[in-house]
Amino acid sequence: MNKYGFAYMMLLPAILALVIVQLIPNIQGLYISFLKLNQFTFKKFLKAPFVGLQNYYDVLINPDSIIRAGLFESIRNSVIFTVVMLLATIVFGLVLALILNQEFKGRSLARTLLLLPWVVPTYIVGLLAGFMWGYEGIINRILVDFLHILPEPIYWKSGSLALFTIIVTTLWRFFPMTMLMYLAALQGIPKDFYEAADIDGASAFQKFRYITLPTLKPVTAMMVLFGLIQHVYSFNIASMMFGNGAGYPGEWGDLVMTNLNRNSFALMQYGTGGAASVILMFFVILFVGVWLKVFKDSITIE
Amino acid sequence: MKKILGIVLMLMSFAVYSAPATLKVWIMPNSAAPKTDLEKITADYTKKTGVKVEVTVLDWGSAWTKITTAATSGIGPDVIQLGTTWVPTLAAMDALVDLNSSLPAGTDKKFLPAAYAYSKMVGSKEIVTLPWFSDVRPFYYRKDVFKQAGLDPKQVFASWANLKAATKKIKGMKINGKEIAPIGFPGKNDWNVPHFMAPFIWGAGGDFLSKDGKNVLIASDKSVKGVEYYASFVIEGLMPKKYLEKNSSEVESKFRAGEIAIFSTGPWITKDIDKAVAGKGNKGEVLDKVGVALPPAGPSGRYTFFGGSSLGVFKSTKHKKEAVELVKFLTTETKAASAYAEVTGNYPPLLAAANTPYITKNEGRMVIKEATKFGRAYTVVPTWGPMETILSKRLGAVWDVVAGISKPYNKENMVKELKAAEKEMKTIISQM
Repeated sequence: MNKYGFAYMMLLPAILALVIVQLIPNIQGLYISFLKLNQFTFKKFLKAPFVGLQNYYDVLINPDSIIRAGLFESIRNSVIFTVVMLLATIVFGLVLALILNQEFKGRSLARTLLLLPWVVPTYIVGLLAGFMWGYEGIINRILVDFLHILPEPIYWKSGSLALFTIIVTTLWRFFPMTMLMYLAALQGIPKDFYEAADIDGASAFQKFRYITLPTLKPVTAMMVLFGLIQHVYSFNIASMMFGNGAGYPGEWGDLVMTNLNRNSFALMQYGTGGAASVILMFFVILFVGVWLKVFKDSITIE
Repeated sequence: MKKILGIVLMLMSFAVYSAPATLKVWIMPNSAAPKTDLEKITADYTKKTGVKVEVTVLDWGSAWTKITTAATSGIGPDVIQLGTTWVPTLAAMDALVDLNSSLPAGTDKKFLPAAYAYSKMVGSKEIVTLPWFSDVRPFYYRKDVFKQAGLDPKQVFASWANLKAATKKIKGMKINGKEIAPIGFPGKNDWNVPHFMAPFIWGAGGDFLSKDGKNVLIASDKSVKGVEYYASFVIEGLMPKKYLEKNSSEVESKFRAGEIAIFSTGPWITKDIDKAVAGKGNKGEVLDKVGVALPPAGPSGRYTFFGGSSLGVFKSTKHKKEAVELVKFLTTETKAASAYAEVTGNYPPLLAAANTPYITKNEGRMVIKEATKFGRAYTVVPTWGPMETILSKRLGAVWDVVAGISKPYNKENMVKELKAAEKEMKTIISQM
């Protein structure tokens, strides 16, 4: 056995697990997208009729296809959602990290409390948020009865405000991640850099711009990548907020994954659902490619 | 040595073969203590036949996935509970045993027609399930509110015009100093949405699908009339808009807490009414003041929504004979069928079981018995599963239009949603 044999042996269980749980189902999914697999052919599973690119035609071009019901609205929603989430989590996380990096009384308590949203499972966050954003929910109660900001309650979960409620809820659940990553990176910046800058007479803004930001670029790159993948595939919160699959969040509350889940699983259109998922995967790979080009320099350590 | 081992193994295998079978049964949480409640009833069966019964409880949320997985993988229970609207989909997947040959002649006459309709698919001779318990939906009303308004329930529910007039009278009335919502229904976020609309669509002479399952009727003029009448309660301010974003359990709790005068839901409320009348009701609830009425009669007749669950046998079972006998025991033996209906608060679809004191000596349940005469089932086609998803979504969207959240109510927009449902349902049919 050569000197790497032991290392490969240690890796083997993980690789086996990934192949069985990820790789094989992915390839099956890819194959299914070329089959006419619906409720009636389901028993045949992988032996269902082969229809080539028919499913892709249905998703992209056929105006009568079920899989397209609300698909483009959900894509629009997901694009808005992902862009806003990336900007919000990064900016919000960075601001909080900068604050938590300072010394102040109760800092440990603040850090612990701000990490708590991360601990709550997204399923539960969605379920509770569904009640909180309701007409008689606590958010309306606070805004109308306590703070008197609104004259009367708003139907947050209907119409175009639905997307806003999903964004705010998801932001609450996901900001601790970026905050923590930025905090860790900030604490890795040697104090001498700042002291040297002070000696040179740099202002706070210049210190931020020329020392802090460049050091944080690798972290930002990572946060953009993780955020992109996480938020494009966001499902639990949107689904649970609007009735756990039984509900329809409306034109503005449907994300790509809730839409695909309804149109492929609930309606038993597995072939076209597979094709739509493959197309989605293709776009995500495209975005990651763009990300690689933009952040190529940031992911190496100087 | 080998010889002795061989003989011992042979004897052991005989022992295993002659041991009584254990039947695996999957049910959903139908009662307070689902597993033990059913096992008490199957204990009789075990005493008679020596066959043991092992009950597993699935929650409704994950049940559909687990059942379809069992159907396709061949690894599952012997006996399965299925919501009535799931039966045709499972039957189309060729997963259920045809019980026809094991049933004595005249079995179909033993059940309520609307419940038995769910046992076979349109156009098929196979009997794939037997009805176990029925979710029959009468209307419930506040006796004290009707008294104060001078309303007679028999009159109120005799026609759509009467019902509308009654709700107008109740509006603005103060009960114990508080206003009460004349009528309440859930609007979306719930599988029940089509179930609530059904009596009104049928009452107008419309339907979701034609009787042969080949044509989609949800956007027909009569169906639109039915939806319009139902929606008019919201438009005319007789039903609070805020209920539309709630699901049926939330609206039901509002009714139980006394905020609504007229409501419709399953038969289980009658058990809680009994408890409340006996002084053992839940705190904050007013069920002792609630009465039961028939659904309102529309221009084309009076129809009661029929749902519920049936029992079937998976084709992959290794104990077919015993499983079929267990299904027959639970559904056609009067004692077992009525005992389970009683413990779950549902209505027994077995005609003989409707003559027990549990039904005949209870005012509310006698009204439900009357309501079963007008029972109607959805068209039993294999595509009904996906159809319900489409209907839940589109009828929920109808509520958005009616509530006028983004734009003021416009009949055209409402019909647009129904037409979109029609288009999607037609596509599903074309795949058959």
